[in-house]
Amino acid sequence: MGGYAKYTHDYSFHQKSFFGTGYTGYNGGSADANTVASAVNNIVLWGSNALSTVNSSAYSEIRSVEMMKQRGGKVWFIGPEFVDTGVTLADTWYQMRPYTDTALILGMLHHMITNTFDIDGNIRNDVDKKLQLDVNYIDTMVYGFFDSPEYYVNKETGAITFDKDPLDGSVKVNAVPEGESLSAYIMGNDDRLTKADYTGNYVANQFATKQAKRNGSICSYTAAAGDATKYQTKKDFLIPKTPKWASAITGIPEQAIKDLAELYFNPDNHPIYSEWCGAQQKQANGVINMFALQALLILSKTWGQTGDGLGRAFGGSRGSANGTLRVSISRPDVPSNPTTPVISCTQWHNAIKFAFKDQLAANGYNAKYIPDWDYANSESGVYYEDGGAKALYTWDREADGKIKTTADGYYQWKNGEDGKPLIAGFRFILNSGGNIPMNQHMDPNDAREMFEALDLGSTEPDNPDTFCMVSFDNFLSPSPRWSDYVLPAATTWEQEDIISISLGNSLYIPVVSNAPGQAKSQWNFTNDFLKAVGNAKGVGDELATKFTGGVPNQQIEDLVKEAFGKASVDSSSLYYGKKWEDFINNPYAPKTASEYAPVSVTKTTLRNNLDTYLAGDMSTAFVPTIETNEKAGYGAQWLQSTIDACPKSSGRFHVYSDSLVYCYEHRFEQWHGVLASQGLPTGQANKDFEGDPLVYPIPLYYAYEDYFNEAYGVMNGKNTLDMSKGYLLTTTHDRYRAHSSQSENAYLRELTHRIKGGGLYSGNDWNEYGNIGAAQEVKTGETASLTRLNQTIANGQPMAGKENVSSWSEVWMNDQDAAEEVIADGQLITIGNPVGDVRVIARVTDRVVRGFIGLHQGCWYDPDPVDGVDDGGCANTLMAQRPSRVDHGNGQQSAMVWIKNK
Amino acid sequence: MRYAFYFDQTRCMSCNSCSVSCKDWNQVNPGPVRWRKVNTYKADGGPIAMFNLAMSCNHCEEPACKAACSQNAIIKKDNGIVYVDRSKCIGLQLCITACPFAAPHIADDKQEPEQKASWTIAHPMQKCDMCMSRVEKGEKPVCVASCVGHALDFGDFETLKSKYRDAVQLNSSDFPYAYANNTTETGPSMLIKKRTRTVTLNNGN
Ligand code: SF4
Ligand code: SF4
Repeated sequence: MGGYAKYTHDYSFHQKSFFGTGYTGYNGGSADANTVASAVNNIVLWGSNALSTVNSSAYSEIRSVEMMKQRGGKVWFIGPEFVDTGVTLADTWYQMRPYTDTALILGMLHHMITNTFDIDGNIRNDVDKKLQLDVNYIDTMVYGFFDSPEYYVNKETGAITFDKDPLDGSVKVNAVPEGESLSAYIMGNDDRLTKADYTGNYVANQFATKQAKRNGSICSYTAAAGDATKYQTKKDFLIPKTPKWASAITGIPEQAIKDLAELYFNPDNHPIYSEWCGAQQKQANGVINMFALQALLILSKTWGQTGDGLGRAFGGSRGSANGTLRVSISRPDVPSNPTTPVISCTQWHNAIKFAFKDQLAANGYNAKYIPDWDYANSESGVYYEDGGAKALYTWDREADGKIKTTADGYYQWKNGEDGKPLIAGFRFILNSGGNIPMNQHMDPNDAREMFEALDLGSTEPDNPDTFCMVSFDNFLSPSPRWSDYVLPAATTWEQEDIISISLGNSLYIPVVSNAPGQAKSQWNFTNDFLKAVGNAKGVGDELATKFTGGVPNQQIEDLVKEAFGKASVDSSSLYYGKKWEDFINNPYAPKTASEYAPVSVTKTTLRNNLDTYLAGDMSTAFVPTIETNEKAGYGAQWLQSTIDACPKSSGRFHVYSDSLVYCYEHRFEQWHGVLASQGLPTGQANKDFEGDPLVYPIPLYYAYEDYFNEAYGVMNGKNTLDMSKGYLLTTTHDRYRAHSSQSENAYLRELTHRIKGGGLYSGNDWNEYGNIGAAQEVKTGETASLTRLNQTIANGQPMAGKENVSSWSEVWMNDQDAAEEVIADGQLITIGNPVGDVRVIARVTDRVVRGFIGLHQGCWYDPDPVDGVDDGGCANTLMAQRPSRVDHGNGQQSAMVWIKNK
Repeated sequence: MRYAFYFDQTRCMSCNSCSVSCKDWNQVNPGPVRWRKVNTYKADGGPIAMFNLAMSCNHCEEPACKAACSQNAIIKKDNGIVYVDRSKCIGLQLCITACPFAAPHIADDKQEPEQKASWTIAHPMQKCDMCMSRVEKGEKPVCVASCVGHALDFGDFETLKSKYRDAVQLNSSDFPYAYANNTTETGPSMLIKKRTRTVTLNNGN
């Protein structure tokens, strides 16, 4: 069709995918069930609810943990809500407030530092060495834990030199400036590390020639506003991040924080497997949580041996049996997409607003979130620019699609007839089986206002001056409801597919029953759609045939049959001599290797070499061979001069990442010629409300109070909030909405929805929901308006006679808090904040920590037409529409809410 | 032969696959009636709710429901299965008070909109029949077949007992929370591997 807008990351794992392990070089692997069953000694679940969210690996996880426990292993769960996975697997629940993972880790590291260095900076002899930092290891392998001078390193030999390039292929590694290392930040104004000699092994002795003490200064991060800063984060710069400090923030007792530190650092407890979770990275500063966790694992040497690592759910051994079917489709003629900016998926709404700014304003959209990088004018507070939205111009291309560049090296944009740069933005969306436009993005109230203020494109879908959204789906979720066109899709059972089971093998699924009416499979929809486009372009079926692999109307079944035909006559195949019917009846051919085969703990070559080195006199250089990111990530189209000035990887692990900051500041630069031509800065401004950085090179703890003050307009004086009455809210996935498309499956809905005052199972409005039942049937030629989703609720109450069926989503609330608020289990309440309000039913429980409310994600947005309160209980109704720090992803598990009505 | 359920409390993750597949297979509409229920209970004196129990009718050796029913609507088969002949039920609801486990249910008009011709009342009692029709074909009850955590099993009581040696028969001193109505001794055909592990909060603080 000529191309599409590219994007990066997704709403599930944006921050995790962005950060990866490249900024730190952390190299601990993920575990499979065999490893857990036979090698791992401790599993730390950082909030993970893997049993509920990764169904296909749930049993392997349960079974392998069972076997681990038979060997004396333990499971530790950390988080504000004791989710089903915690109940099933955990021995200990660390009751932590949400969004405070990084504070916990800093408190743990402080404990290790004070276990290691006395107040004069000498290594302590009164503490078991196993409960201390391995300082020689850190000097050898870790960059940025202590301050360090600028140096050159030869990555072949590990040799370190100073002052001038030895011209032997060495790279220049930036200094970690005095007082800016991770340990300097952790110690705040505690000066013991400024007294500790840089001495010990080769690296330390080399550094000592330039810098006698480990840290050149106490923490030297400062706030431009000094003591008057409104940011708790900055007030904390000089505060030592002691376990006591961390305890006040996280709610976890001081001693427990020390114990967790010693669990990680004592090698006797290894292998330790850490399981990150979606929520941990889906918060306002989720990237930093990933950074802090990797720093912990690096410093505690939780890497390099079987079972020591970081990952998600663990399944059985992956991989197909020898001789399984291989199905492939070749589409040699399909041209590749022309170069376009790769923007964050969270910027799609901004891309629409950019394109239709004038139309939106003219139609009364209140413009509260039209991209506006000037925080002073923004009701929502500073809006971290910009995740790529500012790169969406129309580009001036050569005949082959290549974009021309200006003399300065920027991409060349096109101007419109008025001489102004032509903004492309987004003008058409094909929303295929998704609920992002209305429901999964932050602040559906804003999205609704925006979609309703756009001129209807339905009569002119080709007109670029009108926005058009087409939804192709089998659920009439909120996104199709606000689309210009809705096309019916076949369900999973009504279309063939090749699916890959999470942590398992691929599986061919034939059609179980035929789709009714005009509903089409994804495949046939694309095929037919391309035929229509081809006809409009005068190329007939050519495009469609390219899509189906060169054979007109070829189906997946044809491809599978063809592959099967070859396999059935190949004596080396599992399907040799079999019939097609045999295959359809039993298409799954798992690897036959026995489950939970014993795995022995082995070390990587690097780890072995390191351990040998550390056991020796360490007087010569070690070659650490760690690769970290330099120019990395999306939006990395930069000017050559910027690329040349990129901070270099030290070859060691980085717990201080100058490249994280550098990449942030230069992201998308080459697309910013328009800005440069207007004398405006390019890249992304690394500035907060007070002109201090948004992005620091270390995993510092960004106080959640600051996030809410920014997001709710307190920092720019547009609002005031009484945080002492606010509750912290996150949105765990429960099993019944592992995906939001399942939200209105009646059998699942009744497990989480309750009637007023009712028990957990009593709520059920089956057949009385907008999507289901005869009420929605519209005959050909007739028109009808969609009713709201919940048809038994009016003015925030059950309609008369519907008391036993009108139900709301439940929220989890701590029993002691509920007692203080005088809220009973089953009570209908309204919770909200400056972004939006939802009506929900309280579930009073001791499975969440105090000061916390859990609204599980995936409910469909359904605002009351009178008061605008969302009776659907969509968690995003409460989420500020602003990107997460560093990656411009979705930080939508962070909200402070107030109980507004009870 | 005495058919029974086995439940491993250490493996159940309260996913409700069993209870949802039960409603689906047995064509129980969405609504409050739920033949198999999954709940997470708090142990006496324990710090937090953490004991999962997935339970339906326990097909007792001495069914209190059957004893209470003056209409002989509840039948115990030779293979141990206790089922209700819904056409005999006249709605006395004596079984409901008699059963210790609240296993018999009465639907409302919404969940059960149609009265069958053979019934004398709109909503005769209904409950788990151990998927009789599946069992007759040699299949396991649908809850057992769909259990994601491999926590449920089904078979002859004695065979299960020897297969799962650490399991105990459902009883009111080990599982007080299972006894919703009373503690009548009914000889439930339900073996449970009891969870003994407790959860420590914040390392004991
Ligand atoms: S569990 Fe209740 S309903 Fe089932 S047989 Fe026993 S007494 Fe009867
Ligand atoms: S299906 Fe199995 S694991 Fe899931 S709730 Fe039922 S008994 Fe528990």
